[in-house]
Amino acid sequence: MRNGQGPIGKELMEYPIQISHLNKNFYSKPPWCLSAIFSLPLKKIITACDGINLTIRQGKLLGLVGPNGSGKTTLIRILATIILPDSGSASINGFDVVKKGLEARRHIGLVTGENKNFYIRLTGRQNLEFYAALYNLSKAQMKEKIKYLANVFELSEYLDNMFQENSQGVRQRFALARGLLNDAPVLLLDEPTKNLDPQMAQRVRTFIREELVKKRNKTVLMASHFLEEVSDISDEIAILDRGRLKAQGTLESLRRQAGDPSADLKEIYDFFIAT
Amino acid sequence: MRKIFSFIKRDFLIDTSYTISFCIRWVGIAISVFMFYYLSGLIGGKGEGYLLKYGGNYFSFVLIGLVAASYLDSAVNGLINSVSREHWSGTLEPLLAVPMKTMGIIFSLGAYNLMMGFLAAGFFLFLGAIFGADFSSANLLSVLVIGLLATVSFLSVGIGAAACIIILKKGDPLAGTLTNLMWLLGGAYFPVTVFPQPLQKLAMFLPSTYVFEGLRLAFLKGYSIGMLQDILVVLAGFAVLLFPLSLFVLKKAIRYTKKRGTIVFA
Ligand SMILES: Nc1ncnc2c1ncn2[C@@H]1O[C@H](COP(=O)(O)OP(=O)(O)OP(=O)(O)O)[C@@H](O)[C@H]1O
Ligand SMILES: [Mg+2]
Repeated sequence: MRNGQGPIGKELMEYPIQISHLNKNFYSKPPWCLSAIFSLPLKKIITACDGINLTIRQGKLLGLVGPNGSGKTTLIRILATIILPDSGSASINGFDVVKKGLEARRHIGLVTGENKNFYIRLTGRQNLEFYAALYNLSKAQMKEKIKYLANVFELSEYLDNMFQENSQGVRQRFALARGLLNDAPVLLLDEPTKNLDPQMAQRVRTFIREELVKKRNKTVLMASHFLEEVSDISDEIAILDRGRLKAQGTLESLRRQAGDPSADLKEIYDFFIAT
Repeated sequence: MRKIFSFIKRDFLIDTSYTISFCIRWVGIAISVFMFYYLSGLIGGKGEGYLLKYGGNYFSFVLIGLVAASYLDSAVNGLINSVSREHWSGTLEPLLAVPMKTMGIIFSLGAYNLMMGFLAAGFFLFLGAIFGADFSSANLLSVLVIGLLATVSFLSVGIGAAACIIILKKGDPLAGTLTNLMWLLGGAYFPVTVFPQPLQKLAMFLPSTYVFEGLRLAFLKGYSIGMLQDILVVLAGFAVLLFPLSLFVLKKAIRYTKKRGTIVFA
């Protein structure tokens, strides 16, 4: 497998995810005929990323929290090269996501927050095989990988069901498996434990923490609404509100910033989001 | 190459999972051949003046039109439909994150439909031959060259249309209507010469006109490359013009929707 060494010096590789001064506005336009007739404003501006600066050290997990619509998914999509930023820059393993999108994509594993994005008329196995082929896995690697991931996420009995028969949680587990197929050094996880039952969620957390981060040294950006989960497995935490980073650091340093050395993440979150 | 094959395999599995619909499509082809066979019997020798140039038999004439139109349709609408399907099922997001060029992904989405269009064309010809269409004098090299140029031209039309779909999200029924018009005016079912003058003028600007004309002359009258020179030059012109243009438009459309953040939206 690739181990994700980019072309750039070792000091850069220390931070596989680098984001600097990143801005993204969305302009939602009302249909032009309506705006012409009713003289509605031509554009409504939504700020999804507002001067974001963030770096994640190799082999560390950063938990990203923030209210609905604060820009977590947008940030992940920019890193996954699905959305282009307005200004500022971001890089994956030293590859700029705008200028070197293809190379950047070689180094990411993406688990989208949406678990419906599978081909529902295919089986889970066929879905995974399709993606594995696009990730250039050989037949043998493919087989081995799918077997391994099915074992990790307890998917064996669902592999050959038509995908549309699967429940929400099982779909989510397939989404996790798909994101890990290419064994990428950088993982972008958008609400990875959404819809999972408590035991499975715990299993996934342990797997991310122990296997992916500690053992395999992956660099992970994980967006989540489960504050306990975030404080449980993150090395660092970032709090996002209306596109702005309100605070970033270890739980310890966030406590200091919030001025309460015994606060839990919920209290810290309330402190930063209220202000 | 292997990646394109994965797309084809995926689409084949999805397509055949709707077993009945998959079978009915082939029956549909048989029905249309059957229908035009009897229609041509009804017409008999009436249109001969118009058809003399192509050997005078309406069935053979219309069969080539049907074959070409259905194949070209798969190049244009096949791509539009698969991009739309990807939008509506929300599957574009994980797909765009794989290490492939976004352009390459969009192309690959159309590969299966193009291949099926090719097979369907073969089936059309096979049935036609059974019903008595006469291809004995066909010049296969000419057919091949025209087919190639036509594929490039109409894939370009499809790519341009897909670019519109990426931005507008929904193209039907406009795309279907426009392509049908292109087949009709280009002379898929009747020779262009039966149309009134203004429509004949319009037909001169459609690549489909030259494809149908060229294929008929090559299939039914055995015209060689040299004899088809004029038609080939025009078709090559369309291909050379439309292909880079369509790539440019697709590139712009991808960029625009990645900027707007709407590329994965339905
Ligand atoms: N393509 C788009 N066009 C217009 N607005 C958009 C677009 N994509 C996202 N937005 C808006 O940008 C803001 C940030 O959305 P985003 O999905 O990143 O939030 P989030 O933090 O992931 O929210 P959630 O916790 O609900 O998942 C929202 O207000 C959303 O409506
Ligand atoms: Mg989100």
